[in-house]
Amino acid sequence: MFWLIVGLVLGAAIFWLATGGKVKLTWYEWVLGILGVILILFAIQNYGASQVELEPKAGGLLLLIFGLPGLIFAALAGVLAFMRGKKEAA
Amino acid sequence: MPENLTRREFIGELGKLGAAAAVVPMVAAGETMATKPFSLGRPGWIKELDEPLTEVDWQQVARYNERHTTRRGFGLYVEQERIDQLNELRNTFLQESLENDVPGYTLKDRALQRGVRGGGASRAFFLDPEKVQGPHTWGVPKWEGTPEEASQLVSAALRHMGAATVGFVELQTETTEKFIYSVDPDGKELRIEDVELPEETEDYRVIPKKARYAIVYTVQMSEETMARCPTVLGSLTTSLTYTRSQNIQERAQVFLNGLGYMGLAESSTNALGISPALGVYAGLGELSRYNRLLTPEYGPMVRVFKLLTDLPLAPTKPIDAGLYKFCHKCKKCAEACPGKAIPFDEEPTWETKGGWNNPGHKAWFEDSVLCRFYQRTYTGTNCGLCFSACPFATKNLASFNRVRNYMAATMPAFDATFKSMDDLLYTNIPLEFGKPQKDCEEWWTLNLPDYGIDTVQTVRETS
Repeated sequence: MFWLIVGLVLGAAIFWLATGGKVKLTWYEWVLGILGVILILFAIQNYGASQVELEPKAGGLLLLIFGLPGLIFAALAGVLAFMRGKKEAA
Repeated sequence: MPENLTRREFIGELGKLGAAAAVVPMVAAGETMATKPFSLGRPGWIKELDEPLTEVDWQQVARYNERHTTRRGFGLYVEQERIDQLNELRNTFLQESLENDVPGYTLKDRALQRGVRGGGASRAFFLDPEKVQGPHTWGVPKWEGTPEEASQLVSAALRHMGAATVGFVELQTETTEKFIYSVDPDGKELRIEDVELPEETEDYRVIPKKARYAIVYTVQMSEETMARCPTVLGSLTTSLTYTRSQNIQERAQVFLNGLGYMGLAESSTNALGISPALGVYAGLGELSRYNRLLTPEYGPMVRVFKLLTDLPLAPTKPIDAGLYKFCHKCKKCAEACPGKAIPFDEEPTWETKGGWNNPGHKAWFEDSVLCRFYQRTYTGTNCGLCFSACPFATKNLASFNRVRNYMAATMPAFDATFKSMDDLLYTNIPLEFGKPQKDCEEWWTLNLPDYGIDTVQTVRETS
């Protein structure tokens, strides 16, 4: 169920960004964003599965190792798009 | 297709088209259901080989006397006086640990040990256990089919009985037949003769030459329990696996009898033949640094067993899943071994460490005497730290470990990186001397799955 909800939210977000968003993303913002989302999803899967595996230390570290760069990439894509949109509006 | 069809006729015609569409690609590829090669259904990145990566010089290989292992023949390598001292140390260690409630050695752990080892209906026979019902009693001919179908049948049956993976080796006189022991653990000679029926006497067992097919199977151990080794508690997944294997073995013998064929099996623990060697040739795994079978599905968390039969079976091929190559760089089992029994050399060697090794293959040979010295002095039971420290001793629910499995098979340049990652994520090397990786008292509260194992793992790996 968790992954179904994640899929629906992600699908809606990508659809909105590709069609209805105020700012059109550049190709490198797409690359950064997708890479970030993949890393975040990988981190979440590993964290959850490691808890089931009774390996909480591994879960926490995997969340950090993959989740942090993922957040940075996703945030960078968002910030770049926001800054560009602000510049275009001005 | 004729014109003016009724709806029913139209659907019927569609059905025929569907069936044809399913069969045509198989016929085009030269396959039918009857000849489709038997396979363990593994991912494509696990390569099948004609010969295993472990090099073998068959001229040097001879059938091995099991009583020369340190398990049965410790006295061949160590003086009796020293063995008596070690046994005394072991008994004192166990008693003091019990009296002092040392985690992993408490009364409940010892009671579980008695239950696992002594309880249940586990027994082992070389010959078929009893006269069973089969074609001769039911008045029908014995089962006939292609070797591929037979392999599929036996694999399905053994997995139903509790085996994890099942492979097959066709014994060849000058090569793989040499994996059958010359002498069984109980001292009975194992003779391979051109006779119709097997036989067992006070002094020897006779394997008919026509029993050419070795059924080799693994039984899964619990990673979570093994992480409590080296303690009595930690040893109990090994014990449970051996008793479970005897249940599977007897059932497999009766099953083979039911088909109309013989099933010759292990008369006791580790009898009949060399398990890791047969496992490697059956493609169930690769030979590891700790000189045991390392599997793609369960890592080292298995024990390996075998039966011989005259039912013609399609052999399964040795594999390259990158595990043997990983062992070159990893050395984690050697680092974790408190007895210093596992070598650190990057390359395997032809030079054996002692009479407990069977010469003729290139491997990392363990110093089995050092291993047993450590066990008897400091654990009071068996050890298993080399198994539990292995980076592949993971449960593989976390996708990072599945990525590691893929990378080990396809990009060995990253092996050292994955070993370092394993150190960081799962274990702290060096381990505190002789201490288990996980809390033994906590184990009793974990509510682990059946047998402490994940039986869905092979299904997940192949899906």
